[in-house]
Amino acid sequence: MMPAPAPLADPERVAIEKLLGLAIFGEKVAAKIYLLMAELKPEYRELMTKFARMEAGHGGSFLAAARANGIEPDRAFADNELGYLISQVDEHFAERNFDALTVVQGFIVESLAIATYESFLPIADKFPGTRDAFSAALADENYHVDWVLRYLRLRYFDATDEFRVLAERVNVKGIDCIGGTMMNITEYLDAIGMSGAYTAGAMMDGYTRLLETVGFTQKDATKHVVGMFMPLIRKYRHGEKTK
Amino acid sequence: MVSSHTLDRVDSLFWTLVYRFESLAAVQYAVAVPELDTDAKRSFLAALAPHARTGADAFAGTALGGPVATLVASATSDDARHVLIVQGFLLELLGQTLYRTFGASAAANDTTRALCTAGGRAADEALALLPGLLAARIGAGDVLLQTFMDESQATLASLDALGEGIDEVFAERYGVKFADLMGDVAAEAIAMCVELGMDRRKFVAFLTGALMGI
Repeated sequence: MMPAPAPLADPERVAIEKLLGLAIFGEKVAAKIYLLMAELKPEYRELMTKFARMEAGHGGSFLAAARANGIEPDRAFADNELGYLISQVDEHFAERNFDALTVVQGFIVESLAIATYESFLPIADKFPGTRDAFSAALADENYHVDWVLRYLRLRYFDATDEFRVLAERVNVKGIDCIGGTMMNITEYLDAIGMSGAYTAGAMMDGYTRLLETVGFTQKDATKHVVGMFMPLIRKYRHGEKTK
Repeated sequence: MVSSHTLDRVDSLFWTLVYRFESLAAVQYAVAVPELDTDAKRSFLAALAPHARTGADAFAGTALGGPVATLVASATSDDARHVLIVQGFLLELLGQTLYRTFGASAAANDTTRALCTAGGRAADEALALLPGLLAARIGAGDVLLQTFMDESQATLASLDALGEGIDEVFAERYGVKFADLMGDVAAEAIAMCVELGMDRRKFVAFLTGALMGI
């Protein structure tokens, strides 16, 4: 039997409602992206559909864990954060651009998810039932990224410059959006006992490693990622809206 | 050899800014880390001196004065570990990036370009010596990372305000924003941290938090 959840102070409750809202509805967006990818490349339809089901399953298990803890996910917050991402996804789909969707989902969205889930696990036991849900989701996200890396490495084998053009084009808006969300949730991560700074750093580092795996040099990948995050970091520091 | 092209207000402010930090470095290196008090550094400082203003009002009318004073205060110490981390590591990387970026700009005149070349060469030389000095004086891996975090926090926190001044004074002429410069500095710093055996993720997380001001 699960232990009863401890009562939450107001700031902690507000924070976890927003964070779980973002995780639950973010997983739904991830499922949507994989379904769109399934439509674009029939040869990957079965696998992308499987990934979509897995993402939808995460959303379901997170929601069950939230309810078990008496937490109502903040949908309005999630919708506001995710709206810009959805419009980008729709644009890439309208262009029938499978690879752009792969970078958005496989690199940018998964980097945020992996960094936050990894950072959440050490404090997960404050919210009974969440450890299992987030551990399973983390393993699945890494599984998805494994495929994404294999696909992109092969697709852009001997064509790293072409990948660079794609990544730069997709990243400009994608990082602005998802990196902006990372900055916007920093205070909520701190409020529940995580480190917003560590999570943001983990996302940047994780994203950099993905670029390296596909063919960027370490320094080049770092410059690329840090260069995109710096304007967001400065906005955060100055209390400005990141998007 | 640096030519004596007359510098206008913007260029003069740039070299005045650089001079503040290079002259501080020269004093601190001589006292605490003589290995970094190189011929190239001394020669660059001598070439720079005629182009820099040194009075209390050197930055009058700009947003640079206060942030420069704060940053100089945060960087001032006679402790070898502090000098190695803040001056030898962080500010040398920032200098190297500034010289490379401003020197390559189409807006740079001959004097600025020549000074940037000399400054870049001196910074390259200092940074090449740094890994050995850090290993010998501080150590590697987690010990070095902890020292870096302890010694650099105040300087990293004060860089943001300097960035605003740099953008206000130099962005239009040189077409570069401080955020871009810091991207380059961070990339070089992260590469060096890996070379020095520091945990990359911890280093990136620290750097991110320090720049975010948390």
